[in-house]
Amino acid sequence: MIDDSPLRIDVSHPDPATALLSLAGDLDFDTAEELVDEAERALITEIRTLRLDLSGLYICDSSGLSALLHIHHDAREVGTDFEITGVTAQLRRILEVTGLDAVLGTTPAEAHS
Amino acid sequence: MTGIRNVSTPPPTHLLHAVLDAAADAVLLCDDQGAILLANAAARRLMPGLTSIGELTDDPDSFEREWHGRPLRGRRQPVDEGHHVWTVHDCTDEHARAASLAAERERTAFLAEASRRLSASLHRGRCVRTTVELAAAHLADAAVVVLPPSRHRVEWVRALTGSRFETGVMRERDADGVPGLSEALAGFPPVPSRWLDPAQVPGSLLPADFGEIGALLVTPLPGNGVPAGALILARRAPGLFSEMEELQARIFAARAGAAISAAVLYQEQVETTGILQADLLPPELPRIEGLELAGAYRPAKDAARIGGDFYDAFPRTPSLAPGADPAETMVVLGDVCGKGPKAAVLAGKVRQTLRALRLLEGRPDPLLRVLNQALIDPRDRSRFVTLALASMVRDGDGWRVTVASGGHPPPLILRASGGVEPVLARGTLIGVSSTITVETADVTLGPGDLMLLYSDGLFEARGGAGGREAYGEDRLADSLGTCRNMPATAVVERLEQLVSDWINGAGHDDIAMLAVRVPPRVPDYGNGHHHAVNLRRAR
Repeated sequence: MIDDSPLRIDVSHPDPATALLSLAGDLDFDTAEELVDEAERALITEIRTLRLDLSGLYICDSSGLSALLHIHHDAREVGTDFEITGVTAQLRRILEVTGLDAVLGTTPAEAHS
Repeated sequence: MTGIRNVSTPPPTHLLHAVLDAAADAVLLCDDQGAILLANAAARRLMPGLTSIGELTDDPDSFEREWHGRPLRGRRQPVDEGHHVWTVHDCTDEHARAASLAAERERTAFLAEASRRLSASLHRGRCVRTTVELAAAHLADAAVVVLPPSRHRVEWVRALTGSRFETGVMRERDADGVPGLSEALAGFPPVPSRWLDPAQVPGSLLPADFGEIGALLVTPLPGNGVPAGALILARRAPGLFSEMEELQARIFAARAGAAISAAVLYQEQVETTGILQADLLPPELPRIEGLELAGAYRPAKDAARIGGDFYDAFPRTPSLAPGADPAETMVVLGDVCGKGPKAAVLAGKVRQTLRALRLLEGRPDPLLRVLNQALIDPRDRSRFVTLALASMVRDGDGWRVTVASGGHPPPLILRASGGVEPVLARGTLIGVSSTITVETADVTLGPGDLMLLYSDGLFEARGGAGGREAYGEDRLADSLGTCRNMPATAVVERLEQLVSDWINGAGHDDIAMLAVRVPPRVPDYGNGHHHAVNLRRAR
């Protein structure tokens, strides 16, 4: 199947209690909705942790940040832990400038390493 | 079971004749001169009075020809030395079937072509023109589209076969004279063509030299709930539109109506978006004594996707809080997440709220916190705004500035000496979390110093050699360093040019800049006036 979306989302389960969404490509105005939908699908299953691996992200614009906030909020509502890994230097800078690192509670190792 | 075999004794003659007469094709028994000796019933019906096959054909073997308006196909078979039989087939039905198949194919091809051309545009006028041109080329000698009446007038667009379209307006009263038109415009089912009297059509509907209208068809252009207009087809030849032609016209009208109403919806959406966007367009910057201000705003390329960058500048004003200090000069530049009308609404909300709040609370830190509380929407925790704002107080020939950032890239200062430094204000984005951190920074701007507020679209702009590299904060700082001693207006123009070269025509997010400069002691070529440069250039 050819996927022409500029964002690829691979869903996997490293363990039964964890859903891992690995992102590759552009998380922006055109694709943010897809990610939120995919995360919501994962959140209605019996998981304790929702993890996003952002190491393959090329672009993350304000709509992308908004999607992360949205998912963070949804996860909190259903009592699921939300984690972000694979934060690139560029994205870390954006999270720092916006103060989102504190809001999303990205682990100190991620935010300040 | 035994197969068919020839009987040894022939049946009586009257039976043989009966057999021949039962055949669907014409059968002729001829002598070697071609004289007809015997003809069956079908032959007598198809070719009455024929005495010799020579009257039909000279060909010894077969023929295909018209005979008294019927297409015939004949074949000769020898019987014995002196006789042969011609069987002649009437091809009328086959030809009619082939013709109707060809016509059906042509209709299908026309409708497919019409659909393709109609869906090629979201411009209402263009859809209407395409409709009349297609209709005049394929369905009638003249086609007129009448748009729904507004203020007792109706706009029309018409075309004659082989000529360009014309447009005009007529009074609704005159349009009502066209039989079936008011019903079509009101969305009633179409009146069958045979009930419409072409003689009733007012002369103004078609050009004077069109001549008598022989046949008329009026059909609604169905829209979304309300008709998108009506299509009038006129022919010079007297007679009626056939049932098939009428059906085709209606199918075509349905497609045209859908295309036109889609264009209307799109236009309305663009207009709505435009109204919302008006709140985002660069404002006229006020004149502020002792400051040069220059703003630049370059929206993302996609018109339907207005972005959420905005900037504002407020001069010193008396405070509305009893006994409080006046609201100091303030500049702000922000960026709302997302695009489109939602972003525009939020940006408008931010600007209006700031405009009001600063009259009660001028200090950037509490101002940001109050703004944050005002914008938090418990129903939507994912919409946010980032902004940088600076409160400025005159101090001798310079300004004391307090900068606060709500999750926004730090403003840059270009010193008169040529050095570039970021303003170290930090804080959380606005509108998401009820607890935010705000770390303000105090800086001083002396004569010739310039402070630049900008949106992340500026350093996020992607281009360069590979076309995918971000302009980046470092490059932006370097670019600003090349603007020493330039007036504010020239600085934003130069930066915009540098980023534009970097992007090289590729798509980008909104880019907004606001430069604030303290005029230098020595007058330079800057006139100290304030300009909002709209960088929307024709490309």
